[in-house]
Amino acid sequence: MRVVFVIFAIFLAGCSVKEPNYPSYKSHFPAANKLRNNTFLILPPLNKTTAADATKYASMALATPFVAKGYYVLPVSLTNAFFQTENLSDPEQIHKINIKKLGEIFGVDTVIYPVIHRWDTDYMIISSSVGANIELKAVDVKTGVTLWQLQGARSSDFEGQVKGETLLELAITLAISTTFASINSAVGYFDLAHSSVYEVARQIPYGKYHKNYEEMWDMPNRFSPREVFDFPNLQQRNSVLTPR
Amino acid sequence: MKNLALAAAFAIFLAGCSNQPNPNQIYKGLDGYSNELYNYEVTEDPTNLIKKIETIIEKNHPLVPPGIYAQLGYIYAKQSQSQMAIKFFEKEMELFPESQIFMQRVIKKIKEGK
Repeated sequence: MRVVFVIFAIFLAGCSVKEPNYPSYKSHFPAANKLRNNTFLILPPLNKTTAADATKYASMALATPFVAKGYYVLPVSLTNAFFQTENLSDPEQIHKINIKKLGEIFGVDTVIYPVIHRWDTDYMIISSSVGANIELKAVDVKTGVTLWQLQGARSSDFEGQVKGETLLELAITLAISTTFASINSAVGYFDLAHSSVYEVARQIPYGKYHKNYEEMWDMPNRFSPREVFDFPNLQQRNSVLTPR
Repeated sequence: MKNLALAAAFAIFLAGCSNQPNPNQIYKGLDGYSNELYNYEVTEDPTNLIKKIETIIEKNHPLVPPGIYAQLGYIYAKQSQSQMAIKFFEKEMELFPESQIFMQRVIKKIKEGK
């Protein structure tokens, strides 16, 4: 009898640590809930860094996290190549194209506008840490309404900045920081960019190909934007990095 | 007996925590896919990317993730293998009707030789 009681108590404990007052997806993303968009065009990222190849390579990190989340995403290499055949290679120019026109040409309901704020590949000279910081804005094609605008950032000294609250977050953090051991490998900074995008993707609602799509809207969003890590030191470090 | 009860309690504890939706559970084999896209962009050698795509298709059949066939189409289009490219763009369109407008545009471009 006592054993059963103990089990019950532990069961309750197991449940009760996981639900602080996270807002539902519905309440946190009212526009997304209303419009229920599912088809993404991801534009070539605007590059606010001095790394010349950032746009080309960061592009490759942008789609998969949203595919894994249940959205339909046009392959970025294909859409980038399409812009090139139209003699459009400057992201700044592409970002200025009328969104309704983009919707017409690509047949999507959402356009994602990425901006690269940080993309280090040369940590040996500049700083002891490498990092990526990518901002993504999702805009509805028909109304021009912004569905969400979020920033994801990862850097090699990430461990020092973590504010993980739950076991799951802690586990993710540990997994991420372990990969930093081999950060000077060729794709090290690409992995950071990918994690940055994933950080954005996990905060937003699921897409229609996810099996929890319908019931998700009323579920609490554990990764709601205001709860997620912030990076107070990042701006500072960026300003050290920018003038080369 | 006591150990068993303890083990059971622990299992239930874990169960209590683990009913979080996992964003990676819809499709299998997507881990590392972006890395192969990146490597292809850097080296322009599609061998490993094609291998990765084949694994993803196998693991998820018949529910292949969005964009996978279109990516294959892009690889073949880049190698000027138009017939193969069109075949895969049509496959993407068939699985995901929402891609139709763009896929048709791409197929038209290939047929015009762009």
